[in-house]
Amino acid sequence: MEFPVVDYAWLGSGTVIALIAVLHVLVNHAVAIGGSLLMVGVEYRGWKTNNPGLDQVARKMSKWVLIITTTVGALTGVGIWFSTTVIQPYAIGSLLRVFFWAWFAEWIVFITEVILLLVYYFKWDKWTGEKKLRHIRTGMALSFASWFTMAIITAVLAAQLTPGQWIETRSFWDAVANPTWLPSLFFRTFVAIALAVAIFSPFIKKFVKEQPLQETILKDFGKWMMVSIPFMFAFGIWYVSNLPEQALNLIVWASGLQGKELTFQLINLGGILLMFILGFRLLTKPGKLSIVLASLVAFVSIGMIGEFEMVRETIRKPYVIYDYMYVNGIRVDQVDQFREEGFIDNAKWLSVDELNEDNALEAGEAIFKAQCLSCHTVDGWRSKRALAQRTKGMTAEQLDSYIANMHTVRNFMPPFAGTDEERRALSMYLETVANGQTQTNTMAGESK
Amino acid sequence: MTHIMAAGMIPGELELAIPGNIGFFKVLLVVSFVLHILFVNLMVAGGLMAVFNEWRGWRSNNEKWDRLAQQLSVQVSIHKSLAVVLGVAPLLIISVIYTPFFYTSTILIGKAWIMLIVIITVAFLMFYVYKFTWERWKNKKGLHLFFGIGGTVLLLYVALVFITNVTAMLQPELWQNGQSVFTAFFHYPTIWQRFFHFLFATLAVMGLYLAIFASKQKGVSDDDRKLMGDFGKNAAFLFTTLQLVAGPVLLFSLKPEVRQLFLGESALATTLVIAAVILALGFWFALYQYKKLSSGKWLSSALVMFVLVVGMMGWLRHEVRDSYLAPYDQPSVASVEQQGEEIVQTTALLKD
Repeated sequence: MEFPVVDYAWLGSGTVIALIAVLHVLVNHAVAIGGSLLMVGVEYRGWKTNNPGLDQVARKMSKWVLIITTTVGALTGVGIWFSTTVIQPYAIGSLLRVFFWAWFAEWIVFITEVILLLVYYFKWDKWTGEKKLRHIRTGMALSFASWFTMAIITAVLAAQLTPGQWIETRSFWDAVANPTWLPSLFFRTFVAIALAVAIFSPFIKKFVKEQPLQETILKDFGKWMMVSIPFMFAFGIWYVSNLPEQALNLIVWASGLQGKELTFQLINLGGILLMFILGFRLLTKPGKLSIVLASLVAFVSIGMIGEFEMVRETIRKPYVIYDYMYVNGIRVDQVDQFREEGFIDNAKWLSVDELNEDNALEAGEAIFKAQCLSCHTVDGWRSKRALAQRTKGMTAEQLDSYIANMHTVRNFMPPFAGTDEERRALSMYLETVANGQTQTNTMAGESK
Repeated sequence: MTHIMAAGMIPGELELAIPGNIGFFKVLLVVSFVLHILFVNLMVAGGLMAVFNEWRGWRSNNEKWDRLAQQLSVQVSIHKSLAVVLGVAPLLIISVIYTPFFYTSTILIGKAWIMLIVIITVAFLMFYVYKFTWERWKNKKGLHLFFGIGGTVLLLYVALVFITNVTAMLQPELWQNGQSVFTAFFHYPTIWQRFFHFLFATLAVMGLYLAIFASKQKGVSDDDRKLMGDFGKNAAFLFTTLQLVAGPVLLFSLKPEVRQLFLGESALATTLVIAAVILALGFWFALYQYKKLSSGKWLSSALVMFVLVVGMMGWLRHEVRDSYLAPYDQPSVASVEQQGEEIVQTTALLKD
């Protein structure tokens, strides 16, 4: 392995990436894409019906869209680059080489989006009367640009899970036009609208005091929601049907509800049902919306998008790029090489140069950091990933025979990539973890 | 040789090829970085100048400074959004063509690097509070200034971490695992020279921007317009003068093997330095004349010189990078002569 490793002892590497990524998806879907659409929708309705009150609401929405997207939204987007570079350098470095020009195009769309947003926000007072239509069109273009950045990024995310023909051809266009790109893109599009309705509704209810105004807006929101749910459903099914079988089988496990398929289904159907109820209430009785229902649906839908992202990331295991690279950055084709030549000999930045009779524990720890730390911790907060919990009471022999076969027994685990001796060293180190002798990860060792 | 010792630690190239012509990538890197850093300049100096003027107005009880500060706070909020988006391209390009160096230096300060996201977000939110509470907190100047100063200080820290990373990537022989970012600030030799070079540039750029922007402003009195113009003019001149010291200080602090290239050993590098110095002096002189005569002609000449200086500095900065990395013999890094030729060829290609 080529790069040094950063140890997020208690938090764990996966959590760091997930925190930033889920927050980004939430802001991007609910505010930048869905939110800007709702905002322009309100402005358009105000213009069509000659209702300055609606215009004022749209304007207030635009202030919050501006503040949130240019701070949390933009920064968590960049944050994904930052965190993956530090934690998954092999994966993001490889993806960057496949998708560089897609990302470059996305960058241009991103600049366009920000400029449109600034123009939209600063021209409220200036583009009025005859120029109002220009303002509305700017808003529409802004919504489209936000959506378009998602369209490009979704290609990358989808390719990680279903690289399709790319595995053989290594062609850029095969990577883009992968089997789950379009279904996941359209699925996300309608998720974004539904999410925006769920999140913006309680705020409209709370802050738009004038009753008729509030009802007009909420009723429109209801239409958006009712249209989005069936499409979300349809594209969701298309998406799932294009997943690799192994990934499909991991969905319930990935949600943390292994063995409770029924609970899993009830929770998710219940969430969608709640969204449907909200949409229906908004449409039929917008004046009588309960703030409790609106807030509940907002929280449930945030939970669901978080769950979706976590599941999507998890069902890709043991890969980070399917059939090409394992989640710890080791390429599929490197495993045999490391087994023959030894992992330590092929790695830089380890705290050991070689494995000998005296340094087995230290070597084992170095291997642990290089091969396991991208998902596991010694005793971090996620007990399923904390090896002190998972291996409790196991001996080095038991661990050794488990690690030798773990990728066949548990198909979401990557194979161990090293010699038999290195595997034994890792097992000896893990035994100290299993028996509580290693409390927390020590500082990263000195480089060799 | 130190670089031979370090070679064992430099990561190998990734298996997948770099998707394009490296010379072209380098031109793109220089151009996109220059665009990014200009908006960073406007953002950081906007914050510094806003809090300075607000404080000055508060102390002297003179509202004109407060009005200038408020206009500056609006500038910050616009330029910060562009600074971020424009930063994405250079980040992508440096990641893709200098992967082994840039990724390693990033990972070595990994925790501080990821924390930048939180810090920049907080800084931006503080600037929004600063901008949107100007009227409401008129009588709570201390609290109001706290948000402006907080945002500005955080951004200066961010600049320092960025400088640390791009400096660290150039010297694998100094890489150390398990080092905190605060010790890294003092571990790599040219960080602080670069920081002050950046800081003065930032203030000079914003000064020039204000000198030009002042006359284009709508809805303000002539007095306020003049105030902004004069403030900008003076700042541009003062910090360009300081830059004439900070630039050479940085040049002479480069490691000897690299410094010598720029002081005679390499024809291309030396020509670039000479051209940069002449252009910088020209810029300084145009500012001096504009300050004395206030004629639009000198302001236009200053602007033209500025564009040339910035372009030249961007190129020079790139040559420094590749000269540092040349001994490490990676596919993306060639000697300074080959580099220059490659860039000249690619630029010619682009023009055709």
